[in-house]
Amino acid sequence: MIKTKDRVIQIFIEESIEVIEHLETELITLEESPWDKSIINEIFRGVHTLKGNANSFGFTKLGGFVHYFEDLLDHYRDPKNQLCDEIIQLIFDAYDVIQEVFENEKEGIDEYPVNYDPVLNQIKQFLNVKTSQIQSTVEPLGQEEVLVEKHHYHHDKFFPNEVDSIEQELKELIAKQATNGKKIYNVVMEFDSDIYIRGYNHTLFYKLFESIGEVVKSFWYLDENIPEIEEYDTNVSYIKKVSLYLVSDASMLEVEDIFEFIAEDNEVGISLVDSTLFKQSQDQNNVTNNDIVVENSEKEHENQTKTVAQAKSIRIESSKLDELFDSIGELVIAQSFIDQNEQIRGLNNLEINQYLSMLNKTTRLIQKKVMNLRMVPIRDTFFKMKRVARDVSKKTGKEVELVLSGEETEIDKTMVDSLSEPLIHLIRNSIDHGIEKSEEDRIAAGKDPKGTVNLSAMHKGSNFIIEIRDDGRGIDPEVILNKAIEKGIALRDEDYSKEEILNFLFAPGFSTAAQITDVSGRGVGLDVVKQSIEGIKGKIQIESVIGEGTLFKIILPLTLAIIDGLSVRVEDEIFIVPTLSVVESFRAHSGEIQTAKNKGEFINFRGDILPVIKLGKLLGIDDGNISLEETTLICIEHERGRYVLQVNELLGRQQVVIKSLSKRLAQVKEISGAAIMGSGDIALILNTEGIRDWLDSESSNTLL
Amino acid sequence: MKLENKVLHINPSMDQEQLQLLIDELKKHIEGIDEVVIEEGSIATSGLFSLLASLKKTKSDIKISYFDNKNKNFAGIGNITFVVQG
Repeated sequence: MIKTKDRVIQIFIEESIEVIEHLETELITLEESPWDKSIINEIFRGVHTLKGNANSFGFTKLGGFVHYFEDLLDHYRDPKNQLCDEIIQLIFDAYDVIQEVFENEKEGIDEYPVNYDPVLNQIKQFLNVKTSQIQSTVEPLGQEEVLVEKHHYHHDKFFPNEVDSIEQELKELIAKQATNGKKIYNVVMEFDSDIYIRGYNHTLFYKLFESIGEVVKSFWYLDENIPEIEEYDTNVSYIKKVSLYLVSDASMLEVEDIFEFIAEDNEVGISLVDSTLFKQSQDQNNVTNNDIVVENSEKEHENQTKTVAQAKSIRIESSKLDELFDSIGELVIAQSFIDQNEQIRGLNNLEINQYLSMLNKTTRLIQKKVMNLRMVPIRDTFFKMKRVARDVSKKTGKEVELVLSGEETEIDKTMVDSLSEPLIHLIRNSIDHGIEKSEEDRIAAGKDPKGTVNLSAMHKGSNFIIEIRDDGRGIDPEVILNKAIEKGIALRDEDYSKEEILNFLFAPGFSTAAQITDVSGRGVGLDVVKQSIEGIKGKIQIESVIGEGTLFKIILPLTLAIIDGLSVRVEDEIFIVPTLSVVESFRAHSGEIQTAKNKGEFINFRGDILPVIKLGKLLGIDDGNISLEETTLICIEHERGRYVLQVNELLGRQQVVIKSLSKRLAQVKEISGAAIMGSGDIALILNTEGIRDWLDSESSNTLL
Repeated sequence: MKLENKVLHINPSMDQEQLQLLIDELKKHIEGIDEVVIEEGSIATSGLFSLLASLKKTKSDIKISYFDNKNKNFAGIGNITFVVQG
């Protein structure tokens, strides 16, 4: 538990979690494109933020580790230094340590992760080697043209030419900083000549710099046309430019803050000097260091712009969002009360009707916007799976590519958090058990030696669907059945369909692996995955073809909070049918109705013969004797096929806030929740998934 | 500010208004000044640098410790290299 309730620390923790999660996705991208310096720069920035925050909030173990990790990354920001597999693995290992040490410190556990010292030592060892290389290259730097100011000046008339003599000094200063991890900013102040009238002067900023670092060198550019004493005007500045080098731990924004009261933004330029550049210019004789610094300055500017853009988002506690959501729910209910109030309806006043219409539209708009606040792309969760796939691939020695698609598909934030663990398990499972054991096996099966696991997300009807599909060896139902019988899950003499057999995989305690592996056989079976998915009102299906691969399909509702529904009446009861599941409501003619012995009634719906479910009878409200021609029928879309619901009457369409059911009612699979109607009545929300399950299990049910 | 034996001693903490007084004195006594020594302390305004540069331009043989000393480390500012720019 967090020992202090300090909100600031809480914010730090939340920010750090975000940074750490973001780092993981960037690491995967880095491994795919190790030459792309923008990725390592992004990782570097994240790590730098983490370092600053950790040290500020007393997470010393984290801060200490990240300090060296940052140096390692910094080395590879240099375009000349290319990452190799060994270093990429070291970066991954370092990330794992960061994750663990952060968790420990967050929870107040005074322990170092097992890999803390070994990984830190590897990093230090690497940095020591590089430091000695840096020191050995200081001397040759004297031959390089590195001083950024050099081409700006000409030999002056009344100062000795000393620029050449200090080049080496500056280079050494900057090269030295490359070894101690501090940053060097080049701050260029080009104030207009009226700065004294405006009430400030250059030296003021030096005083302010003292609070964030040390100015190691300055160049003051005096106007060649400075007047002689007789004409000298103290109100005019004859200093054209001051260029200084600030050594600091501060961020770019902190340095920029020094100048926050400067009216003209174009008077100050700040760039981060990449000190490592001083080690490489020998190979870049055609590029002056001035060019390099400018280039980096632009990059840094882009990065800072990005940072500023990110800063435009604000952090809101999820509980506050939930409260807002509940309030909107109440607003929706109140709106429904007004809509359905007989007295208001009876007023027949055009002006009031217009206002009510406006209120209705605005309520829906607010509701939609608040709904969107809860929706997030599944992207981050999917990207985490890349790391999982990478690690499992390495551990199993199988070359496997995880292909993502639909990662921008949005889902309720509260559901995303519950999806990580099931997905990790399924990805591990697909690679460890699904993909063939060796490349030879795959080649022999006529497949690409490299295995593929596709992870995709999509919206379909009222559902959010995730598919994990591998192109591996598939699952042999016979093996599964034998195992199920052996485990006492299946009966030896029973006749099971392939689907039923595959579903034994989700039974508690089922495991087909001969040996428990380090990867997926951890004693946690697919039953836990199933439970997790069902916990968020979803379900999981499995399909497999021997030799071709296996598909796990997770079907979830889009959100857990509000639905757009059709209100229907069955006798005196009102139910809500989720609109996204509804294809059409219609009346049937006798010629379209068919009856099969012991199979119930069917409707010919636009050429498709669909089974009919009499809702009243299914839910025990009536005996199901009302003929189909006398009632309203609703065609329901479903993954496993459309079906038709019989109700007495269609009342209307409205948004309803889902209220959870009592434990007892929650066990009724055909009902997913309840809603308070505008009239004040309680309506039960139908679970079209549960009804389809019932239909499938009762294919020969006499209720039909 | 103090002129002794053709050496003008200047307090670096003078502000813009005091600089104007300094200019007035320099105009009057420039021929009698061979050297300008800046006393210990932080520089209050960058105007002092340009004023001294103007003085150097006016009388190139004048010795000014700020510009002539090899070690140009200034309190609160650090090491400076002066460059004349067109």
